[in-house]
Amino acid sequence: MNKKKDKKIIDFTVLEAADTETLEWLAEKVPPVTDKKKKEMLKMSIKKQRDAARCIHSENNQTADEFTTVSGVEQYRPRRLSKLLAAAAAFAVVAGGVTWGAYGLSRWGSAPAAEVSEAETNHRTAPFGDFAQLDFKLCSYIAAPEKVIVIKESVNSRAVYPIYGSESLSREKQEKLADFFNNYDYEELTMDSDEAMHIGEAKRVEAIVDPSDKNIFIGDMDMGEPVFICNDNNEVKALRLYHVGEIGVLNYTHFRYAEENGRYVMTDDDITVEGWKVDYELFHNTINEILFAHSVNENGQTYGTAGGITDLSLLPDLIAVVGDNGHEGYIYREDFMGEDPESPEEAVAIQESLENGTYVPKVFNVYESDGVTVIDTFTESVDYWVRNKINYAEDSRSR
Amino acid sequence: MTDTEYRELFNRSPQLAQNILFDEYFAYVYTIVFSKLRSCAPKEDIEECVSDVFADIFAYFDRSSDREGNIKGIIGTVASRRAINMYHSISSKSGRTVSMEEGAADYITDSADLTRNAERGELRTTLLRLIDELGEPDSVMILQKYYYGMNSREIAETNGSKPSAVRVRLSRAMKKLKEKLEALDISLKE
Repeated sequence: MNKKKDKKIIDFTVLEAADTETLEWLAEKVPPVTDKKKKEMLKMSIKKQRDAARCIHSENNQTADEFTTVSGVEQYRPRRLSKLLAAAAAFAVVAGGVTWGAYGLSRWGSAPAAEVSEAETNHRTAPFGDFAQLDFKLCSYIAAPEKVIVIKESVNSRAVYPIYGSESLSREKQEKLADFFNNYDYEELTMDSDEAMHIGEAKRVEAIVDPSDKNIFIGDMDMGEPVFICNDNNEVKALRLYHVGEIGVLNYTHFRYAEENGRYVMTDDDITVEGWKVDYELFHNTINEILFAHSVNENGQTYGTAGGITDLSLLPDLIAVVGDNGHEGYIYREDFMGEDPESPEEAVAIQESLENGTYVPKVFNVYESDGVTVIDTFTESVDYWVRNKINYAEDSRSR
Repeated sequence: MTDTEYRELFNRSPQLAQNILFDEYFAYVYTIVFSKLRSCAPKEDIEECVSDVFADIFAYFDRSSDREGNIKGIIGTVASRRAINMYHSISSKSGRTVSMEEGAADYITDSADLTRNAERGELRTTLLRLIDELGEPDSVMILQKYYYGMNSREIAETNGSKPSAVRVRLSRAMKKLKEKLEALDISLKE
């Protein structure tokens, strides 16, 4: 029997219906879904259990509370301003958070000069903690809120706190932000509760609390300000810069919430809100530069990742890659982009060579961020490009 | 988590207890369910089944204050039974029949041939050993991509990297894995 005949052919179905030991090994080693998907399944599990319990115990059925389900936009549609402001007056702490900030913002409208806390100004750690040690993510408003927390027993019985999706920050960005936050001299804000009734902030207040009204939300809110949020184990920490009148305010909101009858709830007492007066321009420019701008090397060349960039004109001069020997570095944009075929015939020839396996992959130098020091090579992979196309298709399908 | 720990937590906050239980056993339940339904059910059905398992478990712990046995054993059994039930349901719709004996995972496969099962078990062990030899994160990414069917964006989300970096690593890791398998006269289809 020759060797070729003995060759076994397998695929990944061989892992199916495995023994318990293998399953435990897999479960321990491999996250099978994203955190977002996992949270969706938790939510679905709880809902299924609640629904089943209601069927069994019909006497405990629906309480007619309009917030029993929190998934729809209509569940947190506009509130009357008078109720909002009444809630603001009842809110004892200084400033507001991402949405809860409505209450704080209404106070900031005509806020007098802030009081300075000497203790705070001498700290080399930001007053809300070390950003590098907190698992903050960048809040995204692209999709509908993932959760809406209903604030129970509030003066405004319909107060809610929508929580949007978020994306992770790179370690580098996290450390740069931490360095900035930790080394700033903050001024603590104090507010007169009467300020809560300042009518000039009315639309702003309503816009924050009701993000479903996009016109007001975008028009009156500084949507260009990134919001950092950490939502873990029913505990939320949110950090955001506001531009209020002539001053900037860095706001930190912290609360825990629970799940009750299929909805997310908290009370006013669960929330801690703090605010510090800051240099708005400095904070705005620094935060946005760290988050969204490419770094620049000593030769004036930009360098960074190409991830997420859809407008090719925004690509940096040097694009991050993993080299053939595993070194992380950069290749020039021109190499990354390749040269366009000069004629349709040349394009067809390249395509054919890719398909019939005669294409000779190009090899590029991988540089340090200085664009000069060569640290590795990067070989264009035919398999990679083929797979890349497949993956892009998968990615776009999954969006 | 032990049964006592869960009970104490549940008495303090049922919601928190459920969250922690879910977090601790999610991967275990998903892996069991996925293992049995991978070939016959779309991901949405698998996710539905996992949610059913946890709804069952939450209900079980909710109403049973005097529980015995370890939590992991109970959860594993519930997950297996739920997955098998769903498999039966799918099979009945597609006209296939399988043994009704619960807990016997091999009945879920399409063969009762003991020799073939033994050989399959050896190949499985070999494949996992070679994947493990790739080291992390390559080994994890290979399994996420080719076993769990995650795309590069999803994989990147779980390990904090970029989809483009995931694609590069996967390509290289797969090449290495195939070379290792070829050395053992095993050819791997993706």
